[in-house]
Amino acid sequence: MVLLRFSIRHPRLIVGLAALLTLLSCLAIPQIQLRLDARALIPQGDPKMRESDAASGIFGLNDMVVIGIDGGQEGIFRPENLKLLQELSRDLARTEGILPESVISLATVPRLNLEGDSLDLRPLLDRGEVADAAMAQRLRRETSQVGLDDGVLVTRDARAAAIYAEVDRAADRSHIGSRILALVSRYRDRGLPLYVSGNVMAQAVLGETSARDLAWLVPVVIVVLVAVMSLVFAHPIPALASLLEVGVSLFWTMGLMGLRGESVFVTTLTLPVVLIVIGVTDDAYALNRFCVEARRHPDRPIAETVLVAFSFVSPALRVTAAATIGGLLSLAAVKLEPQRVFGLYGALSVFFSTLFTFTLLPALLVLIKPRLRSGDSRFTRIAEGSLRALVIALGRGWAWKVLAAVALLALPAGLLAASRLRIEDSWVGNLPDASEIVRGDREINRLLAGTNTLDLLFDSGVRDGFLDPGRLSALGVIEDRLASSPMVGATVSPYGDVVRVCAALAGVDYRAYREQLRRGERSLTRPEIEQAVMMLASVSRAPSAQRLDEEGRRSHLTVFIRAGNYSRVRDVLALASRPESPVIGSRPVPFGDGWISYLTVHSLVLGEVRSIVLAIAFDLLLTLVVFRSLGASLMSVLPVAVSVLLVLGTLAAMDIPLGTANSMFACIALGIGIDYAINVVAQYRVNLRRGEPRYAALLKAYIMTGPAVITSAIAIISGFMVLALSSVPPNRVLGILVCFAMALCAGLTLLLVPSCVLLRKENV
Amino acid sequence: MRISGRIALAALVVTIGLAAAAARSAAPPAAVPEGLRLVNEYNQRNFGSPGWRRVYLELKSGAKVTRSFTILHLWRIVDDEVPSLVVLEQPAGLRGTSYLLVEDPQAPAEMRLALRLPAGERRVLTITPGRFEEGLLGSDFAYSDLRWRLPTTGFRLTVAGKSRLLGREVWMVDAEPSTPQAAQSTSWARVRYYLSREPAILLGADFHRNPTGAPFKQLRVESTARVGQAWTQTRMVMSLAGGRSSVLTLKDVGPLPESIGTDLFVPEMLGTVAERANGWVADRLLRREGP
Repeated sequence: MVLLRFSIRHPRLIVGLAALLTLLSCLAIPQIQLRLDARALIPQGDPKMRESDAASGIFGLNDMVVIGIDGGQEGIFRPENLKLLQELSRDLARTEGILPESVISLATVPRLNLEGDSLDLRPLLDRGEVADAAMAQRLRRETSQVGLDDGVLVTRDARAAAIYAEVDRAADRSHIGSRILALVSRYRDRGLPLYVSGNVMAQAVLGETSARDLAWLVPVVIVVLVAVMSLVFAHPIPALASLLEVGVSLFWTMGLMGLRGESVFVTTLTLPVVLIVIGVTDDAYALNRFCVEARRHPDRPIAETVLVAFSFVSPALRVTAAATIGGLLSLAAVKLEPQRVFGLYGALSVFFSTLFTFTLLPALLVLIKPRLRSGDSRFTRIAEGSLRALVIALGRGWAWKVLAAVALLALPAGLLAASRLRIEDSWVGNLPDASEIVRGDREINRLLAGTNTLDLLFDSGVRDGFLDPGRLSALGVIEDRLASSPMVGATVSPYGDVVRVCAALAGVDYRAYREQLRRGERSLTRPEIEQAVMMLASVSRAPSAQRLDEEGRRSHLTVFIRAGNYSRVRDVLALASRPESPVIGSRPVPFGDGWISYLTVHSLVLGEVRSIVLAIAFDLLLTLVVFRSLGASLMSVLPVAVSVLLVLGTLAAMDIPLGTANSMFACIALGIGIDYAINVVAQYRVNLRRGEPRYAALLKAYIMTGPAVITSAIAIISGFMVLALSSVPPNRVLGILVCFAMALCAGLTLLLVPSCVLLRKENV
Repeated sequence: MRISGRIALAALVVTIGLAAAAARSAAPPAAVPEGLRLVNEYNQRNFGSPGWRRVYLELKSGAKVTRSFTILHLWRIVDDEVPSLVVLEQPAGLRGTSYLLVEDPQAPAEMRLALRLPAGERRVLTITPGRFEEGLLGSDFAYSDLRWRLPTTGFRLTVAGKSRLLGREVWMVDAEPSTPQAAQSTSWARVRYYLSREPAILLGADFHRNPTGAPFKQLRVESTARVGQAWTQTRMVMSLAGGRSSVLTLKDVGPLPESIGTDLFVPEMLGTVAERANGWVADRLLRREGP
């Protein structure tokens, strides 16, 4: 209140100070970094990632880009198609941000085939010769002989081929994404369909799309909010002042983020949109009251009107701000980088916004002196009339029916959410359907072994453990089992590589040799294994160069998963973790791109589900402390809790999975949805304390705060509805879910709070 | 001034002038040698042929030794070729692995290589002209890094200046492929050799994938020794980014007995040598003369 009075008395000082600090904040904003890599989402040293990071370190694994070439009916083994493969591999290796040595394709993979007693490891396509029909046929024959036509480098039917390349960890992913797309685009002139995918590309495109989205979503949200609030308040100034106040809080927040060198993440790029909408909702209560007061008392000086209106909403707004901050901070408890940043700085922004609601906003109103027509606005009249009718109806016996109906809906929703709600997400799945990466991913998954890989480390526990024929063969059994799954496109492990070398030295077809081993008609001896491992280690760019660690103790198995997503990674991991592990010595340690994506989704979604519980607990505690009444506390939390439950139940019923972005809806809804009930309950209790009878106190509270609840809900819903226009599917879903939850919450607040009050025998 | 005085002054001026001219001609400014000349000088050095040595190869990840090998190496100059016979003695599982590397100025990449693998088919494989840059036993040393002579055909050799390594003055010579054949024979865009002239010995090399970028791997000689009339490296480290390195340490060295003739340095003998690596060859070497 002191701040409010000071701001009304010294509006210019407040506006000047805000402008100065906003300018200073702008200087720090460029320090904010955009992080697109999945690994950045999980903090370094996270216990869940410790083993995985160590495994990545041992095998020097980096994120991968995949380029698929569809040779059509005539296949890839045609001179002109091989020339394209050769040149594209070469140019990819020269692309900035790509590790040149990591490029693997038919044009780079060492040739293990023997010609008589001659071994020439240079790939046929890397000898400075132009591929002709004879070379193409020879390459096809040799590729098949060493079993490299398993869908990883080339398909069995020779229709398509792939090029893989690792991305430098330090490289800027958005730039790499653009460079690779440009490179591929240049080669499309040759007439062959070319596809690009890989999580790196998906992250780059997602980052770019989200950033591009943000550039137009923010102005559209502002325009929509100004339009909606201008309609509701029947005057544009309150809306513009509110937006200005929210904008300043956003700049301050981003300035602090920049000062602290924080990053924004691809999964939480919608933060500004969310914060604008949340910020405006708090103002809605104060501005609604201001408009009512200004219209009912047109002769009153503006400063006094502002003081009366803002003082009126002050107690409830302090609580609602605390609840919103608590809801957002519950996200920070997830301990994942994006959620931490989103939660922490979202809470900070709400804090600033609340501070400005009682400083900058009153100062602006005092300075601008908006002239509102006297008499209630049409909206207020309609809203108050409807709300009065609703309370009267509830008082005539509808309260029980309302509670029963809500219980009838909530119970199955809870059961459905608990039993059928599933988690699913993938980087590519978050991209717009029209994206080149989505199309590329679909085609590569259809034609080749798959674009997503799960890497597994098996630790034998002893030096040279995997030089032991028994352990190596056990790895082969796991490889075979995984390869037999329809989800798996191909597997690559030291077992297959050793067999490939032994088969090549024996001059036997790889598949025939492997089958003989499986049937027990052949066996691998330790010297043969050692010799093969030595040869593989000697050959630069061998696909297996990094599949056995230098001590021969740990091995690296890569599983190519078709259309890989959260559940497929989980299922493949379960398949890999079965029986043979005791022979090998330990359970497999998952790592690499696929695992990080899986773990990110797992941690984010479960963390957010956990934070729902935290947010509800916080709201209960907060309202209990403020109202000192369990009944009032429960009444405040019930509407928002039931709405979140109903949304979760609806998702389960419609088989819509929870993903990284859409699972945030609950915390946002819990943070801002409780405001409705708090405003109504707080006013009701104020009226009771003034000695009014229960029914009258309720009706008055309802009429005084109800229109503000509706205004706020309309503002939030219209603001978040803009997200539904986003080209990023999860942002669209997030927008729709928040709208759905907030509409439910507003409706349930206006139904449940009076119903509960009317059905209780004593005051709450 | 009297005439005699003038004559004396003139004589003094002429004397000083002549002395200065003499001094200039006696100590001309040091000429920068041509890269090719430096490399040829190095290639023509005495490297103790015919000779043998036993070296210890360690593969390291940071400070940790991940794998180690004991290698027996025999060499002999035969006409203008230098064949080297390399036999793996340890570890036991790979014992008998051997290769014959022939430095032949007429061959593509100036090298020929035959490899004998003891397990399975026990074949002697001819490694046909490639880049010979596959890592020796999975180490960071390539076959081509262990040559006695540096390749010159198809390479532009330029002197990049002087430096000091191991307390000695070295010339830095950059070798860049100048013909398509040479470019095809190497994956390095540029190799900078650090050559000491007195004594003639290679003390380091930087291997660049990109002519202007940082080296992909670096060879540094950490110690040298004189053996008879020849100088040899006794400890060499090849390092890569990320803390990976391979260390070659000289354990034994000596002249090759005359009884071991040129007939040993042919691919057909690889099997025989390998089978008897720890018996016939090594015993004869160590029992007779030793280093």
